[in-house]
Amino acid sequence: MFLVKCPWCGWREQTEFSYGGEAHIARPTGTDEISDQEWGDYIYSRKNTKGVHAERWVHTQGCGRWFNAVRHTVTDVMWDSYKMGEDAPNPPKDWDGLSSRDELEPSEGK
Amino acid sequence: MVDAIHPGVTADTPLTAKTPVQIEGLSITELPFLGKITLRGDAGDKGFADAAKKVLGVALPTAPMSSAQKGSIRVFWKAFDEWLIWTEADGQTKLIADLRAALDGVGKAVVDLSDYYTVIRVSGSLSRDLLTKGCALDLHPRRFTPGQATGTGFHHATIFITLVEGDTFDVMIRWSFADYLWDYFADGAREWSA
Amino acid sequence: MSQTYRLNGKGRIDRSQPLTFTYDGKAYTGYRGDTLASALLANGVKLVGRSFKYHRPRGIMTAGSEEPNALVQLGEGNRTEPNTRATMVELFDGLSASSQNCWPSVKFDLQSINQKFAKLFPAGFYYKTFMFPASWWEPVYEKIIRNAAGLGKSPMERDPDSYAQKFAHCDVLIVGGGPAGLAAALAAGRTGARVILADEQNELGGSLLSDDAQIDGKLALEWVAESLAELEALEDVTVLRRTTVSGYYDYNYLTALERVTDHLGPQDDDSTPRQRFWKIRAKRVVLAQGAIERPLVFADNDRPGIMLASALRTYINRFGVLPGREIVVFTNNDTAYKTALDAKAAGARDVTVVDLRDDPKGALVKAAEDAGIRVFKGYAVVATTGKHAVNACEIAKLGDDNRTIVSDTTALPCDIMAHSNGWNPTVHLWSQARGKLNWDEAQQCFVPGFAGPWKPVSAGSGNGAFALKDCLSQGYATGAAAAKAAGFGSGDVPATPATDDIEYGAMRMVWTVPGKKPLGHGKAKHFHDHQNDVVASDIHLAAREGYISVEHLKRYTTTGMGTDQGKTSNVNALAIMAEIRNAAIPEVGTTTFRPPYTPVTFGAITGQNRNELFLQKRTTPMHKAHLDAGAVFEDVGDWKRPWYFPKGKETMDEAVMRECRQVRESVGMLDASTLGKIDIQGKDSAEFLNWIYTNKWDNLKPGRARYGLMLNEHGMVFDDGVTTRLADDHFHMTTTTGGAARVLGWLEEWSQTEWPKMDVYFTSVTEQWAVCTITGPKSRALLSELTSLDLDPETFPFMAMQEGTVAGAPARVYRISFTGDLAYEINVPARYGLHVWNALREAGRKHDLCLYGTETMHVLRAEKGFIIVGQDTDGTVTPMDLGMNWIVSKKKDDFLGRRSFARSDTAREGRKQLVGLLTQDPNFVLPEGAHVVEDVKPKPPMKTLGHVTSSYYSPNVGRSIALALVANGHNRKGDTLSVPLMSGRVEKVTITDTVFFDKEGTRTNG
Repeated sequence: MFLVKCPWCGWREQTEFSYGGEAHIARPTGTDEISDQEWGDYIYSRKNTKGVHAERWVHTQGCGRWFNAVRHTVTDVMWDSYKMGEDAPNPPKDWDGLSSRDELEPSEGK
Repeated sequence: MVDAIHPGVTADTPLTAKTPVQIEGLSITELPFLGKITLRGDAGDKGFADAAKKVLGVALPTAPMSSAQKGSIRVFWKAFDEWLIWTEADGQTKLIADLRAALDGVGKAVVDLSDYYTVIRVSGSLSRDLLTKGCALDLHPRRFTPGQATGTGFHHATIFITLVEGDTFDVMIRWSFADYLWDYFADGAREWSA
Repeated sequence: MSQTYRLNGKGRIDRSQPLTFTYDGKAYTGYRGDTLASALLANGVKLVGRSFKYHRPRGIMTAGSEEPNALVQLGEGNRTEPNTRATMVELFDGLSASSQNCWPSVKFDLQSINQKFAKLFPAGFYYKTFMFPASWWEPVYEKIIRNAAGLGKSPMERDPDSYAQKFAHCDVLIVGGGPAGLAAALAAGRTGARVILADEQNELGGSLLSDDAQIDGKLALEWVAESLAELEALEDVTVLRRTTVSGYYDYNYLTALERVTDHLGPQDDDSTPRQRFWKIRAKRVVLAQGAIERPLVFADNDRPGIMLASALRTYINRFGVLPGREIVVFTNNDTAYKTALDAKAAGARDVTVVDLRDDPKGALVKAAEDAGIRVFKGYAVVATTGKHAVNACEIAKLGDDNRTIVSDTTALPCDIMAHSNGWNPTVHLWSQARGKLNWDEAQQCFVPGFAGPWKPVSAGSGNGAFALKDCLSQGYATGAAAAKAAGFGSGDVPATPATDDIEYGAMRMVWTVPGKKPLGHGKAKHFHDHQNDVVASDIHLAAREGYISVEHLKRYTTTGMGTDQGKTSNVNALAIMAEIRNAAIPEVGTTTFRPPYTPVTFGAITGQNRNELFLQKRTTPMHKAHLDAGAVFEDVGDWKRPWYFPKGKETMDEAVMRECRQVRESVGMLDASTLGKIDIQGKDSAEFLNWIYTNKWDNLKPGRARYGLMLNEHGMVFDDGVTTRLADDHFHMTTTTGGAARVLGWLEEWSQTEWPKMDVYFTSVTEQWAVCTITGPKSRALLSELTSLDLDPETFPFMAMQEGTVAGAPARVYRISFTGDLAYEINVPARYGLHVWNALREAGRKHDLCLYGTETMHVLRAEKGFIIVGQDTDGTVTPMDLGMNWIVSKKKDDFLGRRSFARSDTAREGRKQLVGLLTQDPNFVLPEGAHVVEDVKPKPPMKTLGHVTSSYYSPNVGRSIALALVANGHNRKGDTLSVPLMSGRVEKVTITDTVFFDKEGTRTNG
């Protein structure tokens, strides 16, 4: 059971949250014009990344708000989370997935 | 009990049949029929914030997990665009009408949840020991301070918990889960009942 | 006074509290502070059980939680507990325990015949022997194995005790209360950090409890007492005794089992929890669990009376028990000399050390010789004898190759043998935390390496630092560093007090001590895993058969499995395999340690979550009335809903038939409070609903209601319900009972993540409203008696909502119908639910009102062909498949799921479609789930066209009715198909449309 950082409520037990899969997949517009392939990709195709992954969470038992987070899928360390519509706070290129942003940059993450 | 507003009509809470727990160091009682209202809106909209403050007597809290109080009205931050308002028993009808009137055109939603939830008050020196039997939140006095409030879990139930002061917590629970939560509390208190 | 082996004046037991206990029915005495193991040894009991596979006599091998041998059945009846380690069971008055794995008695065990056929029980025995034929597995092999194997017996009755759970948070969690753990707790606690210090023993001190070491010129135990007093005076320090940290999970989440009353014995009432399961979230973790002594692998090293050197020392010093008179200490290192010295000092008649090393040079060796202890240097124990306990060992000079003996053997009589092969740091939790292990060549053991993401720190002998000075200094340093990392203190490390450590000489590693005959020949067995009865020759066999990877070795030989998880066996097994492969030990690798460190009772894991508290029962405000009315309940999600209301001795069928008829003849009342309800407000509410539902919502007038279907993006139906427009910007949505949370989540997800600019807000109001649904031709007459509303169909038409009072309570009344008959859904604030229900019931008497439950609701809706999402649909069904093209708007540009209608499989002809089925025999009710076929074959497989989704006997239609999903069903009305059943019966069915009753729909207006 890991911890998840809600952008508003802070680090909380994972059991308070629900997972929403890969982030930044917009629903296509003009759905009549797009191909079956494009529509199928939108519904079904996901990256299944090993390593740094941007994903959606919702703080179901807390504030009830959806947000995005960057997590290392090998270590499960969450780098940071961010509000819907914000750009992903990408970790450094050489991030080892062992420490969250709050651990490495205590002043930034709070 | 017979309702004062609707004569001849009887009203119940989900915990009407329960006996309060009163033992050394621990008290568990229901605060029945508190008025409970959800308010939605944009705190950054001055018109909305001012109108809400005028009705509530206190500004909407904007810091996560914080709350504000004026008399019998308690306003809890629930999310960045959502507040939970508690008022005295049966005070919700007038307060909702006042809010709707004041917020016309600037507010987003006002919903009566007085019967959706009830509130259980847990107090005494053992209150944290009881609550941490099922709640994973850090309730240490340094980490959860008076007036702080948040939604969290208690085993299978979702609760909304606030520290009133000292060792006194108010725990809000949905009607249909109230029986479960109460029985869990009462069972957990047996450890100290002897 | 029968404690023949008790030492006068020694030990930490409380002689003022004598206790009586029984073992295998025989009464003994011991003292408060004893373990079952120390008390048995004090009474001269060495044989305590039989081994797992060969049923060899076994005794007490250790003095701690690593015990692989002395597993006993503790207690009786509903409190009996198998596999408890006698070394960890604290003695209490009246304790009763018995040996396991033996029949009829521990001294005469019939299955010890297994020893004679030991050649039949090699590694991989189960795999090889019970391989063919496969059909014998359950009836034959499993029975043989179950009877022959198994460790102890589970209780067959209900556990009478209670268990508690506790969520805890701390800045620094310290596991282990020996010198390193105490030092860490002091350093961390003094900073003001919240500290939890957990130790599995009844008192803190760890190895110091068995030692005479000195700190600052005083007995180390005085330092322990002072440290504890300081810690317990600190407000934010929690010291947990008898608490084993059993699991280390992500983000420093650790579980621990606190044995609250086990040491007191069974309690009269269950108000005090027997055990408490701690769930600790720590900012930082210090692991100071100490080290476990490694056994030597030598011939017949498993006889009762043969134990680890440190264990013997603990029995002497901590428990005041010298369990023998003639003692042989067999060692490859200096630490065992302390045991020899203490045994000698305690009055052993004869103490002999057999040292594998040719020329040991440590100070302790000299001290032993000075004390008159015989030391055989360069010698090995090559055999032991004794039927129920060791009575002698044979020693011989060891060759330089470590594999041969180069002298004749000499017999040494002994009644206790102690042995030591060095020490293994306890790295289990480190490994559980995904930390890596490094091989320490100098000390020949695995030590903590790379810490991994959760960054535990390790201190003391658990970190490979065995000297007391290092334990203390690492404890202080890690405690201070952990507190600083958690935001407390400056990281300043307290000064380490002076200690009296002795310099140790080097070890001689002999991973398999040769016997008198080559390994695997003769009767002698070299056990490395005592619990699973695995011997060195099994590892050789595994290697010969190709199982050389550590994970294969473990599974093939069962090394390291069982309740002790290989605490004493793993490194020996790896080292033996490394020798066979001529590889370095780290190349063989380690298996991954997994939780729990020691067994955790199910009771503790369950905690309070049992009986009524196992799962929440959600009930409606009218629940009390349902109980009074004798309702039989059905589980719908977590809800308890009335299923039917039997009268007198009615069966379910009889009650449902009566309810079905009565609703259509007069009026029925259903508690519909469980339906999901969502309040929707905001300017863009109607536009949002246009996206969510398949039909159009912007043209709905306030005060009017409409039915809607929700699809997922695959175009499949996932919920339905009626939504009412309360005002231009305000809707009241209803969902299925089971779909309430899912639908609210769906709305929130789209609103927050895809269309955050839309002005629309959702609030669950399910429990705010209690709902009494009244339906049937007399429902208008009934309601009119209790309401202020004008019920004239002109002013209050079908699919409309009005606000007023019912029975004096404020109400929203919706004229919507799930039965096809005239119906009113009366919503009142939950507090009035019971009142209004009772008022309607009272007024309903003269209208012949009947209460009905979910079963009648299902039959009545099926009569009208109304679907139930999740019963008539299964996530692969489109609105068109349901024949509900009418609800799919052609005017909207888009809505959720729409694009998928054009995907080839969704658009294809001949999909499974919802139809009605009428059986040839009108009284026969098809089982739901039965398959519909064109051609019946004598037996499956047959090509199936679909299946029955709903099926009932309908008293109002006067025959059975069914709904089914059938391939191309909409084009096959009138066709006759078959439904072959398990019984062999084949029922002919005719495809019809889905409406069986009131096809014209005239009853809606009453």
